[in-house]
Amino acid sequence: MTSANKTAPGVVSGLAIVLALAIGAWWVTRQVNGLTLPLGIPGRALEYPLWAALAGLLGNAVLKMSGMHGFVRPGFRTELFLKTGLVLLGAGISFATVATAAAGAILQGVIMITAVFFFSWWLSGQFKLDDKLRAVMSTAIAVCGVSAAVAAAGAVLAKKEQVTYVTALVIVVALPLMVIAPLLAGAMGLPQAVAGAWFGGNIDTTAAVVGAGTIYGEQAQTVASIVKSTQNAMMGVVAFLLAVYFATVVERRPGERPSPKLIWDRFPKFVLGFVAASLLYTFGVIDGGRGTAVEALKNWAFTLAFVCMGLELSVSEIKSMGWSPLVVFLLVTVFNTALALGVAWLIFGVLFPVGV
Amino acid sequence: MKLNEDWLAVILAFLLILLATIGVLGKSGIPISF
Repeated sequence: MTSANKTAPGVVSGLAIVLALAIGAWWVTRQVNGLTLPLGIPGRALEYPLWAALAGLLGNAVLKMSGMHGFVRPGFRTELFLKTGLVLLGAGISFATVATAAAGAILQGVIMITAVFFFSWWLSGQFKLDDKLRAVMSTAIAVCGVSAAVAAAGAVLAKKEQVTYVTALVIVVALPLMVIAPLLAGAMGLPQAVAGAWFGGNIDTTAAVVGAGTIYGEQAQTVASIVKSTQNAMMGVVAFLLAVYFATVVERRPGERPSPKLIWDRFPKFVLGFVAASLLYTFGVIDGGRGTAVEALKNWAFTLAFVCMGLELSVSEIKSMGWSPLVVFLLVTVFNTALALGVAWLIFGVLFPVGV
Repeated sequence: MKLNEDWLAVILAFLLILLATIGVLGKSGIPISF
C-alpha cells in the first residue's frame, strides 16, 4: 500500500469532520444572532469565527480522547481554506482600496517586522535561548505566525521540534487574541481601519487576524486581511536575509551562499490571486460583493479555516522546552501589541486613512 | 509533482468564482448562502 493510499481515508475523514463542525458553527451563529445573552450581550456580537474556533476545540478534545486525532489530522487544512477565502475576499474589494491599504501596510510591515524581530532576537538572547529557536520564534512573531516559523526553520535549518514548539505557541496565543483584540478595540473606540491594521500587525497567525477582523466588522476584516497578506509577502525577504546571516555569521559555512530565488520560493502566491481577483472585480468581470455567492463561499472558507485552527491546537509540545521560551514569547507579544497599536493608529488613522 | 498549497488555493478560489460567474453557483444555480 502506498503512503497516499494510507493517508487518503484520513484526509477524507478529516475533511468530513471539518465540514460537519463548520455547519454546526454556522447553525449556532444563526441561532444566537437574534438572542440577547446574559449580561446584556447581543447575540450578533458573537460572530462566526468564535463559534467555528470553539467547534474546532470541541472536536479536538473529542478526537484526542477517542485516539482518532492523528488519523484524521491530514484533513485539517487551515492554510488551504484560509488562502482560498482570502482570494475570494479579493473578488469583492476594489483595487483602489487594496492599493491604498497596501501602501500603509508596507510601511507598517517594515516598521513592525524590523522592531519586533530585533526586540525578540535581543530578548531571547538575554534568556540564552538556542540561536535557531530564536530565529524561528522571532520570525513567527514578527512576520506571520505558523507559515513564517516554517519558512524561517527552512532558512536556518532548525530542528523539527523547535518548529512544532513555536507553531503550538503561536496558535495557543493567537486563539484568545482573536476574541480579546476586537473587544479591546471596541473598548478603545478604534475606527474600523485602525482596528484592522492593529489586528494585522499584532496577531501572529493569519487565520486569527482574519477572525478578529471579521468579529470587529466588514471594513476591519478587509484592512486586517490586506495588512497581514502584505506582511506575508515580506516573508521571502526575511527568510533570505536569515539564511544569509546564518550561513555567513552564525555557522560560518564558507562558500555557501543562499540563492535570492529563496525570496520567490517563499513568496505567498495566494497574494497574486487576491490582487488578480480584486482587479477583475474592479473592471466588472466578476462580482464578489455583498450578497453574492462568492461572498458566501468566502465566509464558508473562513469558517472551515477557523474550525481547523481549533482542531490543530496542541499544548503538549509547549511543556517540552521549559518556561524560558514561553516567557520570551509572551513578553514579545505584549511589546508587539503595544507597538502595533501606535503604528496602526499613525499610519491608518493619520497617514493612509482607508475608506472601504 | 506536488502542487504548492498557495497555487492550489488560487485555483480552487478561481474555480468557485468561475462557477458563480456563469451561474452554476448562486441564485440561478445551486443556492449558496451563509
